This record gives sequence, structure tokens and C-alpha cells, in this order.
Amino acid sequence: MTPSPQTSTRRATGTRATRVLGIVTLVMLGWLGLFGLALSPADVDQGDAVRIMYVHVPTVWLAYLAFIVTAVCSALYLFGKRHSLGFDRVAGASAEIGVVFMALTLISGSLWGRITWGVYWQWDARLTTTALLFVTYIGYLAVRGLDGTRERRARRSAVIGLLAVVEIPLVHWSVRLWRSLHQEATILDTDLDVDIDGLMLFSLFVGVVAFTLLFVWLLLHRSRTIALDDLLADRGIDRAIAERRAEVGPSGGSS
Amino acid sequence: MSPGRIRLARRLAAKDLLIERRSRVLVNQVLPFSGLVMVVFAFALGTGGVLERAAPGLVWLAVLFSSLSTVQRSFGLETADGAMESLRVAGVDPIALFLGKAAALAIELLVLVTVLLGLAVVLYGTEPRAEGIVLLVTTAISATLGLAALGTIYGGLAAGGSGRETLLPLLVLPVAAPVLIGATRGVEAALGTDRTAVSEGWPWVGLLLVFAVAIGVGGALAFGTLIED
Amino acid sequence: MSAVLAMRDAGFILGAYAATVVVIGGFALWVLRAGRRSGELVDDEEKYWT
Repeated sequence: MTPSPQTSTRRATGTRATRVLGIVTLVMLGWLGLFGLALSPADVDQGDAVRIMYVHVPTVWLAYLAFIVTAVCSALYLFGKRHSLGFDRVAGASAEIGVVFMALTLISGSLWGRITWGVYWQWDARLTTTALLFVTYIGYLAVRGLDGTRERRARRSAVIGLLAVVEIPLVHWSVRLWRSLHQEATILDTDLDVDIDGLMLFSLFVGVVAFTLLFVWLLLHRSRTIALDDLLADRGIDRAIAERRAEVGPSGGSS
Repeated sequence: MSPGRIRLARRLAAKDLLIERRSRVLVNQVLPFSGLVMVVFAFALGTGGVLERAAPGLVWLAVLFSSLSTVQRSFGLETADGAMESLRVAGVDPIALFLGKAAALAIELLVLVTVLLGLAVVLYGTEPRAEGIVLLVTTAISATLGLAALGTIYGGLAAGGSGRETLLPLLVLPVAAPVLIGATRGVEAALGTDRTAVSEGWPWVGLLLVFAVAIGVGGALAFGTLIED
Repeated sequence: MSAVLAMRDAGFILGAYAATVVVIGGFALWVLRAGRRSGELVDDEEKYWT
């Protein structure tokens, strides 16, 4: 295989569209910081602690969005007529993003909790469910890492991805039911009730929009990279086969 | 659900149970292990009131951990000589395959649950009460069905070596959380731990059944894809 | 700015924002860098977005 001339630098995963998207996202994230930390008012009850909400809620939103995209793409791969691997790649990329943002949710949530509850962790419905889902999707990524052909990986992950989405309500209900029945710990009221007024709502809105754009940006780059890696892996296999054939020699028979 | 499929599933389940009867892996290895786990819990928690209050949860924890080895054993049988692979290639209905393996697993786990509940009475001092018996039995069966379906799905996926078996706990435990929560609360209500009334246990049984059905149906449909290697 | 720093529990609040920036920024950089590394090994014709 002749190497391509080194004079041309090959393109990475960006295009003009993603560059524009990236810039818009950065600007909106900057606004989020501005509104969240400075322009929006403190909460009547929680004081400034409510500002964490402006990053915490968008990260939750993004994580769930990512996992839904994973599920939808898993279904489109599995039940589509052509079993297009493109869907599998998007599903995988989306899950990676979801896991990262779920981790961020746990971090920002526990910092928020530290202020409002005095403790980093509480066995309330939301935190517990988030932690369980976080581990569930780490499992999904682990399944994607198993060896096998591209199609096997896609099929297995698609099934696991769909099962994971089915689990979400089950886990959520059971944890909610569990935590609602045991009202002993009402000293620590875990209902982070925030009376949201106009400017706060706007700041939240900015956050959700910014993070949605961020999600699309990350998804585009990540799925393209996965496509490249798949291509390289396939080529690596082809090359290994070609080399092996060359070893055996023109006679074609092994010793 | 054709009668042929059910018959096939029953034959497959009988096969697994026959193998268990002959090899006695559940009886000789898994049961002692889970009994040991129950004893060791007492070392970790101390023998004060905590143990009796935690008893329902501890029983289901022991069941959960032991179920992992039971599942691995169940699928180890299949991969050892390529048994399941042969069945699959021969075109055996994967739904029947799933139902058969899940049924055998359910029976084995039910035996485990019964023994461990008995052990809890002996070791932790829990006392079952007459009005809670129906709830106790129903909880045990519903939870076991869910765990069996779960184990069969992920067991099918994780079987086959090359770093896959270690995946099983990571996949099973988060998904088993609703079962753990529901089964523990159901047994608590049946036993009256923390002055829980029997009536409080029935919503949990509902949850366990929804879980078992959802995972069972999903698993049956997905099994064919998962065991393809 | 001083008003922001003078918030009660400013450490935790700013910490949450900082963690968000660091994690997102780090992840984004990693994504871009992995993309660039793989992109150099593959001809542009084979990339479906070019």
C-alpha cells in the first residue's frame, strides 16, 4: 500500500459547520457563566447556592438526552432494514458523552447538596437513581469494548442500550417509592424546591440551550472519530491478512 | 406462545436441572457460599439489633451475590463444549432457549432464597409471622423470577471468556437494584421489621412483577441476538 | 467580581462551575485531539463529512 504524499495535511473531524457551532456554543456557555454567577438573583431560601442549579440541571438534561439518543439509534440500527453501522457509531458516541455528563451531574449535585444539606451525598431518589444509571452506562461502554466484529459489537450494544433505557423508569420508580416511604430523614429536606422567577428561568434556559448545542458538537466530532477508528481497524486487519499471505509465499501452501 | 415452544423450554429447563442434580454444584458450592456470606455479615455488622433489622436486606444481598456464580455456572455448561452454540446453529428457537434457561435458574434461585430465609430465622433471630406468609412467598417468587430473567440475559452476553465473565457483576448489579429494593421491602413488610404492616409490602410485589415481566419479555426477544458470537 | 467571590459558600459554587469547565473542556480537547490523530491516518476521500 503506497503511502500518500506527506505534503497534504489531512483534515480532522471538523467542518465549517462544526466550527460555527463550536463558537456559538462557547458564546452561550460564556453567557451561562455570566447569568449564572452574576446577573441572576440569589434565591430567597437557598441564597447563592441556587447558582449551581444553572450548571447542574443542564448536565442532567444532557445526560438524559444522550441516553435517549443512544436508545433511539440502537433501535434504528437493530430494527432498520439496512442495519446501518452509522447508527451504532452515534449510539456509542452519545453514550460516552452521556456518561461524562452524568459524572458531572453527580459532582455538581453533591457540591450543591453539601451547601444545602450539609452532606455530599444523600440517599434520595434522584442522586441514587443517577448513580445507578451512571454505572449502568459504564457497563454499556464496557460491552462496546468487547472483542468481536463491528456487527456483533453493534448488535450487542444495541440490545444493551435498549434494555438500559427500559431500566431507567424501573430504577427511578423503585428508588422513588423506597425513599418516599421512609420519611424519617425529613430534617434534611431533599426536595431542592426552588421558586423560579423570570431571570432565573431565563438563565436556566440559556444553560439548557448551550448544553444542547454542546451535545450536538460533541456528538458530531465523536461519531466521526469512531468512524475513522473503525476504518483504521478494518484496514489494520486487511493489512495483517495481506502480510500473512505474503509470508506464506506465492506457492500458497504452508510448510 | 406455541405449545411446541413451551415444551422445548421445559425440556431445556429439565436438562439444566438434571445436570444440577447430578453435579450438585448449587448444593455443594453455592449454598455453602451463601450461608457463609450470611455468617460473615454478622461479623461485619455485630450481633446487636442491627442484624435483625437488616436481615431482609442481608438475605437478598446474599442471594444476589450467589446468583452471579449460579448464572456463570449455568452458562459455563453451555460454552464448555459449545453446547449452546450447537443449539443455536441448529436453529433452536432462542426464545425457548431463554425461557428454559431462565426457568431452571429461577428454580435454583428459589431453593437458594428458601434456604437463606430459613438461615435468617436461625442466625438473625427473625420470626416470620402468620399474616405475612403469603406476602413472603409472593415476594420471594416475584423477585426470583426477575433475577432469573436478568441473569439469563446478561449471562448469555457475558459467557464465552476473554474478559467477558468479569463483566457480569458490573452489568447485573445496577439493573438488579429495583429487585433488591423491592424484595427487601416486601420481606420487611412480611416479617414486620420496623413495625411495617403487611399491607405495605404489596406495592413492592407489584413493582417486582412489573420488573420481572419487563425484563423477561425484553430478554426473551433479545436473547437470540445476545448469544450470537 | 468581588460580589461573586464574596458569596457564601463561594468555594463550592465556584467549584461546581470550575469542575464543569474543566470536565467539559478536558473532554472536548480529548475528543478533538483523538479526532485529529485518527484523521491524519485516513485519506480525506474516505471521510464522509468532507
